[in-house]
Amino acid sequence: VEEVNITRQFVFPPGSSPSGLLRRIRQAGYTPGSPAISRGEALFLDTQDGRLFKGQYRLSIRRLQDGRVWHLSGPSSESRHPVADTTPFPSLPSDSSGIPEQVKELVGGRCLIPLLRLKVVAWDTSLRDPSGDIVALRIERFLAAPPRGRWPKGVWPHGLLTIRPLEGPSDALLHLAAYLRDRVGLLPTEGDACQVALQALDLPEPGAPIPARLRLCADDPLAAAARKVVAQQIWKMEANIPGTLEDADAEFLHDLRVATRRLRSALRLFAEVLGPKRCESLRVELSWIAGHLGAVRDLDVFIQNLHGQAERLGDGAAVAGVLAEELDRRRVPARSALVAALTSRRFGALTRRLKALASSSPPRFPRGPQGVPVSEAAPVLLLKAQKRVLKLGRTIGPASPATDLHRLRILCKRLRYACEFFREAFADPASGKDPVADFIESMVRFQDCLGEHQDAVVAIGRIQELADAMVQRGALSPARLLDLGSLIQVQREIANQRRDLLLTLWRRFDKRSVRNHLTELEPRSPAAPRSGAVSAAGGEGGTGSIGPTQRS
Amino acid sequence: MRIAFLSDIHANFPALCRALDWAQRNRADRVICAGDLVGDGPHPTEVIRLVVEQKIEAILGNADRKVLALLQAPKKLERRLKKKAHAASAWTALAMGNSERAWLAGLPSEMRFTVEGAPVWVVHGSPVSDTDYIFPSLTPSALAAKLGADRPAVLVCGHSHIPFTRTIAGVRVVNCGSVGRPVDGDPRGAVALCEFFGDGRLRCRIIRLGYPVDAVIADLEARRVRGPRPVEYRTGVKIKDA
Repeated sequence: VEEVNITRQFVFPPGSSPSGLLRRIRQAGYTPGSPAISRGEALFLDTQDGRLFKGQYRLSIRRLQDGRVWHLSGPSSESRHPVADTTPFPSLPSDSSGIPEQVKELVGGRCLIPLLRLKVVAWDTSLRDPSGDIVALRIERFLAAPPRGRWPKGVWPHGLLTIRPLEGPSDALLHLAAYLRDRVGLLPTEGDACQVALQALDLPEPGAPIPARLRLCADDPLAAAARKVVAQQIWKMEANIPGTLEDADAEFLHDLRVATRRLRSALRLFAEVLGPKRCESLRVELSWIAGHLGAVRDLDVFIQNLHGQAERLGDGAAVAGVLAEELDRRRVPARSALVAALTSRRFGALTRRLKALASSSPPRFPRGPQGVPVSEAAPVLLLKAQKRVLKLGRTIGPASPATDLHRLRILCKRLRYACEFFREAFADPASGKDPVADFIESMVRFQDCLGEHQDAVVAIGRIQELADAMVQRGALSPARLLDLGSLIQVQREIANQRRDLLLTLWRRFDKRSVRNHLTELEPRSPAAPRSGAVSAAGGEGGTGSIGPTQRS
Repeated sequence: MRIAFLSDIHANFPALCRALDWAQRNRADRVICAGDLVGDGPHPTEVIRLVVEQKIEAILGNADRKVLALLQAPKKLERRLKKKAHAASAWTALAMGNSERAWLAGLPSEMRFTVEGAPVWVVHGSPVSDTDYIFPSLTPSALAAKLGADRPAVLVCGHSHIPFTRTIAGVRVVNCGSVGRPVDGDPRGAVALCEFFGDGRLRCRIIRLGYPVDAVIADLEARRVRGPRPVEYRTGVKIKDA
């Protein structure tokens, strides 16, 4: 018999008492040891993209009787480091100097964001199995609150029971686990206290991974799949709103903006199955919030790129500081407008309408493509989006106007988003093979090049406009003005370099072998179309009519 | 008096817990198991401990006997571990502790007692042997051949995993079916409840009880028990090897 050496966790119900549980376990022949009770408080932290969570690490600052410690638990180890900073708990240390080296390596330069606070009472004991083996039993009862929120009142609402083998083989653990699950009726759980608390507070995990219930399946009818895609993006939006409002990390704003873009793209893609008028009106509202997000994000990106690009100017690099100061000044009203928009009744109404759409039931009697499964409908939608990209892309050359390149970039983004919406429905769950991964990768390379070109073009206009404004105010010396001219030249060089690269990347993207990634997704048996299926819906060419009405 | 008869638990702890909870809720005065407590399933130790804890009366089944026999023949046990078809019995033999093995070895092969004046005979397969079957198609002459000179009021058995209760030639035959490994197309466990009214009247019924099948399947995988297939637990259909 092979050893299975793991711990087991259960939800410990709020109304239960550890001593009552022990009485019951004793009846089954277990002999409990004397219990030890400890109390503590913890502030859990992670990066905006959840680097620690993804690596199954949990980082917290814990207040203990003899001071504060950094506590880092990983998949296979646990470590404690004293907190040297004098900042009162639960505030974060004022700078990163006190952060343990191991944590710095794990977060890779990203800033740490507070996730939640926990007040824990832990109850530890050991249990001797009838066969003589010993199992450790820990019951943690805890209160959870957001980082700046209040503690809930009343009973301790959450509890976790953990068992692990202490002496002897793990059989005793498995026997006790089966007893607790089947005889005592405790619910097995895999999350730790932090995850349980996040769920209880209805907060997403760091990085906002998409919950399983919102994941697409190949058999989902298109109407249901469209609702799931919309719900996924609402999930992402909501996960990033608090961080955007607090301005804790610029990536919150970026992810919020990406989620709104994807949402607009989804509403365009699925307009026919979700209702064209409803989708159009939601897209208009999303464009409004996207405008506010873009105003701040564009400044963030510009400031971020500015310092690196100014390095090329040598002695003139100091101009970056002057510009950054001016840009920071402009960021303040843009951010205030964004905060006002995100906290407005209009945005609240928009969120409610989006949620109502996502949670609405798919039609009982689907019409047209609504009932077609994703595995059949998605290839048609993707090929249609690809056709638009190829049509415009094949007319693009090094001398094409920036507006055409920008239009191509938008079409590429729509195609990429569509691929990403459907990719999980096509991924092989057994092998994890993703048939569109290579296609997306080649598209991203081309799209990034277009993006960098567009950023340079926008930067030229912005520097010129900033220079005009600063000259009018008399805030710019002639030497600095010349430096700004040089900076414009740097942007032009970047734009030209990207233009030169475009054709090469386009050829790689437009290769038959890359294009075939999408054509190979097509359903293999077109001989038996479903009622209202893709080909029967009437439409252009051989690609059918699923999808939104093409807009210019 | 109410007696809950169960059989063929086959080391399925969640199903046994469900059956015992039901028996307790329905005020069964006694719980009697007609054999095959272990074998096939992932929880032999848990099942025996609970049966001991709850003071359930039990007899030995053919699967229990097979497991005990393997413990007496280490070379055979080693060979069985390598064969998928018999690996579950060998796994069970090794998974049980000494106290559970000793308790199992001490079980009788049949049980006879009288309830409210009615003689009851509990066997695993049939009175002939623990590998003989009693199916619902049993005829009066076949029953007479199996009973020999005995004429109990109630004959309780298991082994076939197909539950039924019928009066045949004046004998109430109760096949409890299987708590943990049903094979009649209904994945729920089966329990027989017999009420003895004292005036010669008797009421027996078969109850089907659902249990968390996923928990058993998860434990089969976690404990690496070879042999039983998850689909058999989900469908209540035994799949024969090709």
